[in-house]
Amino acid sequence: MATTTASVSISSSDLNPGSNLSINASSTLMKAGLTTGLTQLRTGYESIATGTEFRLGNKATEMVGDAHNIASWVYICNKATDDTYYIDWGIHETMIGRLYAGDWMFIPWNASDDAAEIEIEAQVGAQTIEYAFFASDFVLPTASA
Amino acid sequence: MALVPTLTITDTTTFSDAINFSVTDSLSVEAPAQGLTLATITTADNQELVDEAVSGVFYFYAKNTDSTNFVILQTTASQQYARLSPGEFCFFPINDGNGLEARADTASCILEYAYWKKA
Repeated sequence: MATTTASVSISSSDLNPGSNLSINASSTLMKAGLTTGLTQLRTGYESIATGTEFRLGNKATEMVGDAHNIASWVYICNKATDDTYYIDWGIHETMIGRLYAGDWMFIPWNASDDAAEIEIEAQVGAQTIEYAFFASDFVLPTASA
Repeated sequence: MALVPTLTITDTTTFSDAINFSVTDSLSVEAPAQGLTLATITTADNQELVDEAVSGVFYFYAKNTDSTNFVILQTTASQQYARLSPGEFCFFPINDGNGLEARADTASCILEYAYWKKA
C-alpha cells in the first residue's frame, strides 16, 4: 500500500514566556475515503519570472477518478535567498498568501474545478521554486492531432 | 521572536526511489499571534479565524482532529482552497486582506489551529 507520510513540527524558544512552543502533527496522504494511499507524484524545480501569473500543476479536468478536491496535496518552497523576494500564490484570481524567500507551504488542495487552479507570481525579482503534488489520478494532456 | 517550522515527507513503498525530504525555515514573527487553540467548527459559512482587517502576512497552522468529517478552509470572501480530511494538517502563509474562514462540511469538527504574524 502506498504510504506517503507528512509530518510538521513548529517550534519556538522565545514565543511563549516560560515555555517552549513545540507543535507536532503527522498524517498519511490518502485518497478520498481514507483507506488507500495516494499513488501519483509530480515534482519540479522551476524558475519563475516576474510580471506573469503562472499556473502550477494540473487543472481539475486533468485529474480523474477519486474526488481530487479532497485528495490532492501541494508543497511549494521558495528557494530565493534575498529576503525581500516573495511569490504570491492563490487560487485562480484570488490571492491567498505570500511565500517569502525560504518559506514553504503544504496544503490539502481543494482542486474542485478548473477555476481552482493554483496560480503563482514572482515579485521583486525572478525566483526559483521547488514543488511537489501528491494526488490520486493525474491525466496526461492529449497530444496534438 | 523566532518560529521554526519543519516539514518532512517520507515514502518508502510507492515509488521506485524512496521519498525522504525535509525543509525547514526560520521565521521572524511578532504580535498579533494566536497560540495553539482548539475550536469547534460548525457547518456555518462565517467562522473567521484570521481577521481580514488586520494587515500583515500570517503563518497559519491547522489540524483537523475529527475522525470522520472534513473541514473546508476559505478566504473571508468564501473562496475555498483547501480541505482538511480527518487527522490532516496544513501550514501556509496568508496575505494581507484575505483572512481565513473555516467551515465543517457535514458535521461540527474540532480544529486545532494557530497563527503568527510575520515581523
